[in-house]
Amino acid sequence: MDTKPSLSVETLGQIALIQGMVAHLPDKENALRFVCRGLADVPGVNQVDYRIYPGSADQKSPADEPSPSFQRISIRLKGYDHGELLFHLNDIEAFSPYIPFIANLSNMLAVIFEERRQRYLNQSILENLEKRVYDRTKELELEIKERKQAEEALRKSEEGLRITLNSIGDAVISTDTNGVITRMNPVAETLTGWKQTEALKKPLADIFNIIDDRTREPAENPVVNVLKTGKTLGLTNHTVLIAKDGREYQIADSGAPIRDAAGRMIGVVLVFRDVTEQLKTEQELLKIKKLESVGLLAGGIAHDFNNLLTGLFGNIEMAKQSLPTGHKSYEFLEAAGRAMDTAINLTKQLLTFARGGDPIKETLSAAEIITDTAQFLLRGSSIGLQTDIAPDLWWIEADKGQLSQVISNLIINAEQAMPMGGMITITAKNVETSAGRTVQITVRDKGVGIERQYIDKIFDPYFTTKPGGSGLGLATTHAIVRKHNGQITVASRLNQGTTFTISLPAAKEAGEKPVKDQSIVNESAAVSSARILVMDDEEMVRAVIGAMLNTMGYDVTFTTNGQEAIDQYRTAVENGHPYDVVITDLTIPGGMGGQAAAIEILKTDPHAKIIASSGYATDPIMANYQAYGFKGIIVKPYRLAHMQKVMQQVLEL
Amino acid sequence: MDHNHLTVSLGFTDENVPLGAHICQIYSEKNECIDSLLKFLLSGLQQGERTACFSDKVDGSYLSEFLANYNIAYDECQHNQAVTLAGTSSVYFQNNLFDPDWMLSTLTNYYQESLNLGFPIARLIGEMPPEIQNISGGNRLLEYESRVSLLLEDHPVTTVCQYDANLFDGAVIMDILKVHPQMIVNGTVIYNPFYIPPNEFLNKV
Repeated sequence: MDTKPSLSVETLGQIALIQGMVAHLPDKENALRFVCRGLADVPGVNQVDYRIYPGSADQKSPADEPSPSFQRISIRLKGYDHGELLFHLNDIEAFSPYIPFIANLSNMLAVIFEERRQRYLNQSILENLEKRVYDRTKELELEIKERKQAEEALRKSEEGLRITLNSIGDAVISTDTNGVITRMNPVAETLTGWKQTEALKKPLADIFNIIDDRTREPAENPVVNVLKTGKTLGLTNHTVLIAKDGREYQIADSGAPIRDAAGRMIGVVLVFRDVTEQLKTEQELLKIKKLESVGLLAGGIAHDFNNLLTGLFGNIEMAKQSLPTGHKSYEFLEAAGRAMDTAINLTKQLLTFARGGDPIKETLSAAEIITDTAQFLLRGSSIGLQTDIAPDLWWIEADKGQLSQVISNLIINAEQAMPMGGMITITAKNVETSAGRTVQITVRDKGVGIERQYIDKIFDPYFTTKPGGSGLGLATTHAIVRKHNGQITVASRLNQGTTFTISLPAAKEAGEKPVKDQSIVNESAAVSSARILVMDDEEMVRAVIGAMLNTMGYDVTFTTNGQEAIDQYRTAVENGHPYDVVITDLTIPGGMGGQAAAIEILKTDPHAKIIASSGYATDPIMANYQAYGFKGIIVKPYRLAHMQKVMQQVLEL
Repeated sequence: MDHNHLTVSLGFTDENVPLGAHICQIYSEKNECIDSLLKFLLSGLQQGERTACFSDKVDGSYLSEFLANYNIAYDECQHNQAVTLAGTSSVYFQNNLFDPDWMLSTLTNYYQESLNLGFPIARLIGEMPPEIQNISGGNRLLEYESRVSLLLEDHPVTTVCQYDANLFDGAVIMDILKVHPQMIVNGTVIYNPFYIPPNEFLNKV
């Protein structure tokens, strides 16, 4: 009777112990080695090996096939092969009873290994997930940091742009491609009258209201042009910007496309500036250039004209001198003299305006000049004169002739404003303010008045509303007043009249009462036998001055230019008969003038007494003759009494 | 004293074990090792036994803090030599060599000294350093353990040998089981079915 091999309790106990222990071995290989060592004592077993999968499960060699000497028991769970135990047997029958227990053990191994695998996978997944989360967090942190840096850079760039735009002296407006405003700088806000906050997202045309100055018609929208052409464009001249409050500015500007890095147009930038003052300055410069031309012309004419006047006036003076006072021709000569005065004044007016010369000031009372000038001009006129002059009117430092010119111009204007007659009122009073003491003179008429639109222009050269008018009268008046450090203002209402007000600084001290100009030589004046050297290029002038000096008893020598005068003077000095006085004309066209001659004469004789003679009363040398080495001046046309006075003064030095 | 019928509590298992038992504990968690060690010492001290511990995981301060929870003064125990604490290398390796004879004589002396000090019984728990697998003389580990079983028959020191399953080879662990009469599996002391009695084992070696 065959008996089946019995199971050894001890072996079963070992298998059970292995089952109980194997979970404590964390490493799969270690656990399998533990198992294999433990199962090596199972009856019928020579040796136990193990194989771990995933491995060569698909590569089974013929030797791997079960046989009486070889058994394989898989360690598998739910189709996942973890490995297998390989039994090399010496007694299959002794071994076989233990196969179910060993299989049970291998199932437990499979459970343990699978659980560990799942745990590992989960752990791996978890770790992987955590790593991905960590990496992604780092990426996001980096992105956030980069974004913040980019935002900060952008903010700084925006801030830099804003500061730059705000610092630019020109107005800047930018728009998008629809012509809608995207940015304005403070200068643009000022000129347009719109705040950026109000203007943003509005069409440019709503804010940038421009017209053609000449036609007053709306000007073309520059943004439209730039968007159309894609080019930088400038606005035409004569463009006026009308601000929100109605103020108008002459502007110069340009528009340009804004392009992105790819060259696409993304907007338009408009840059413009207020050129109102600039244009005004340019116009003023143009006027000055015109005036300079006039000045040159006037200078040329005045020289010749003055010499002619000198000849005429001088001869009239000499003729009057030779007639007794009651002679019937005397009054004709007087009338001729007065006419000469008018001609002289007109010439002075032209010269004063054209050359803008410095006034030759003296301390005088404006009262007499006002009264004399006004009475003279209005004699025989239908215009009445009313004066209100303060009895204690302060003295002023002024050029007598120029002041008279001013009063004349204002009276002439007032008279012309009342063609049907009327009253001119002239007042003069003292005014003391924190700025100092001034003499205020007003000339008021009740004539047609000046239109409001012309008020700002009446002092402009060549501006006139009178047909045939020169446009120089008030311009000259303004120039003279300014040269006297004074001010002139005008107030006018149409059909109600005009008032001119002049303020001139008061003199620090009172002057001497003016002495009436004597056209007759004072016969009691001592006749000197002095030797006089006269230098003038005009024969007529030499004749007149010679006649005058001879009347005074002087011995006169004539020369025609500066070099001649120098040579003559030196010769006289060398001969021991120097001249007592030299009278030199300042202006010698084409030759050496009086100033250059005086310098050379003074080198020869530092004590030489030289008198400057000129038709330009406002010449700087005439105004400040002593600084140029001269001892006196005489203004053409010569007045005999004045000539005598100057000669006496200089000879007595 | 007749030791043959005496049992002692290990402190970390439910069952008592015979005095002088030679028990193998295979652990895979460090906390399991420390927990067993501390409870083993506590149990011994509470029962008036002399205790010894060879471990690198517990030091004096750690043990002192643990024992204080049970109103046992570690310093006093040291003074009384009721507890001996040493590192594994200093105990198991002399001059970088594992010498079973030296170890056995140390164990013998420990037992004698315990008696001399008046302790009725003694216990010992030792953590085997994994370096023994590579050190000179380490190949005599199984011989040593088998001879310990023999020694404890006449020198009944209840001995627990701790082995880290993470650091010892699986086959070596199986061999270690074969030289320990008892072992602890899942907190239970079991008689080892793989055990080969010393006489048989030592003859094979």
